[in-house]
Amino acid sequence: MTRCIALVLLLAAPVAAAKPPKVPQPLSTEALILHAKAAVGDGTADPARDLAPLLDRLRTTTVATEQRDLIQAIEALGRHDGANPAAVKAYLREAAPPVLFSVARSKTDGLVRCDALMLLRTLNVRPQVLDEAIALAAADTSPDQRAIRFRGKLLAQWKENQPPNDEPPPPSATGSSAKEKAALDFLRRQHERVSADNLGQAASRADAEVVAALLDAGIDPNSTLAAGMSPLSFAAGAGCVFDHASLAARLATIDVLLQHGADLARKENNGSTVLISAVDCPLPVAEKLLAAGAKVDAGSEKVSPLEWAFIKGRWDIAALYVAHGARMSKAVIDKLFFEKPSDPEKLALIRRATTPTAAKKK
Amino acid sequence: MRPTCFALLLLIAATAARAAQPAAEPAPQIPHMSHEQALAHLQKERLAVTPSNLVNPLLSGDAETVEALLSAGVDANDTTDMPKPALRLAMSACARKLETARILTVIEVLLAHGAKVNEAAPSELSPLMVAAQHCPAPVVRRLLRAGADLKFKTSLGISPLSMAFITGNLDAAEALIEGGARLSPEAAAKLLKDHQDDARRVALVKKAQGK
Repeated sequence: MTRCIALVLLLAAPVAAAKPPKVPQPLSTEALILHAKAAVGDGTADPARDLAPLLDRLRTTTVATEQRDLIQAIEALGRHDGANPAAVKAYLREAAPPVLFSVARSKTDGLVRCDALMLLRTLNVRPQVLDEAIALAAADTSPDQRAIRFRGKLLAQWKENQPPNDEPPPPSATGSSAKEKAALDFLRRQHERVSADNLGQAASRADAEVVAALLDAGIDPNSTLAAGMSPLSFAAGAGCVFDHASLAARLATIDVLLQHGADLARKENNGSTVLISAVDCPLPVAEKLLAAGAKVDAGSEKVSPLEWAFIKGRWDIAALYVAHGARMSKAVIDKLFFEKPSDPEKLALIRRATTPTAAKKK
Repeated sequence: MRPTCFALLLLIAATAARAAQPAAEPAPQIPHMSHEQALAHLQKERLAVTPSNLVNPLLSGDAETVEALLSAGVDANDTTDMPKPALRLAMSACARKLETARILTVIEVLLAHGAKVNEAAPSELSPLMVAAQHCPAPVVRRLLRAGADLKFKTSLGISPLSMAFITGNLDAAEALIEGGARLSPEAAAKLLKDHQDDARRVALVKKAQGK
């Protein structure tokens, strides 16, 4: 009998749960945060619709743990050096400060008030807003005044050390430009995630269209990806090993990244540079990078691009680097080659590589 | 019933092979499988018919599973799904100090399924190159019998024989020299530098220069 009741209950429970509640319950803070993060994560975020509720909740709640969770969520979504769409960052940079000030002025938990102040730094708010926060902290007379005033000093220090022309661009009237909207629409139709990781993947498989859209959507062309790699080192390096895109597609992808400001002089976390990565690619990739201004002598501490081309047996790329002025000492060559090749063309290249350039560039 | 029958057949075949070949190195027992037997083995091991499933059996010297995958249709020379070609990977197993007999059996299985002994890509190492680093002499001799190229060189000019000396695998070096490998004066000088006290090495380098 008890078994039967349990069974009936078991069957009834999901039915009851499936029924929509008649009165719409306000979403929990946790749900609000999850919703906002999901919307930003899949590129469908409309700031006014998906982010405003976070700020409203932060303005109204007096529960310290909820305030802390909301501040952390805004920090994750809006950090100025993060990989989220520019529209999301711009919206939070403009709309969050008034709410953060009200939290900082309130009688809530001291650490939460401190976090609210420091979030201004993470969002990279305008200098005038920082001044207001610094003044607020200096004038604090609450029991937590020591901690609050210290945060004010941190903000003042940070402001001082900022480069002078680093003011964030003024947000457009809609908070999102037409270009960015079009890019987000395209990505949504293609089921492409709007994230820095996806930029790396698209760069790796040389999908120039998706790369362009992700960059238009505000993903940083110099994002740091898995293993500290840059999108450019995926497009002009690792991608050549693992993906078999056409050369034209790869060159187009590299073009898009460079047009959007990908840094040719960047050193990867493993010390490698873009001309070292390019040794894994067809010759025209290295040619394009050199034409765009990559420095032929920029190598890691351990190996130069030319040395790496020799090690990988890429005589075509080695010849290109030598033609662009890369040189090695005879001693290094002797150490590098266990036995020099017998092929006369290769020997001639090694000789050129050890002959000082006629006009030494400074 | 069938597996017993199969094992019995194997035993008979192996005994026959041993009787026929009174060589110094015992002939490995090769686990031939029909397509059906191969699929049954893979089902038992819960393995899909895909090249990358070769990696583990190659590195652990599991010749039966290698045979099953190849008999079930996996290409012994696949490089699309494999990090390295199968024969080359099998040589890496030497570094794990596996029994020589097991490695020899895996080699037989791979060769029987058409694994290429010499690789084309210049920046890749040939199986003999890897064997020169890690493998005992019988493995090196087996590759040479299968036609492995003694004149292969890496992009930086290292031959299998140089490699055997560089890694100190003098047994392999000796097998390579017996197989006809030679050293240039340039390589010989580099290999003897700081090793003049090592009598066996000095003698082998001399022999490899035809002295």
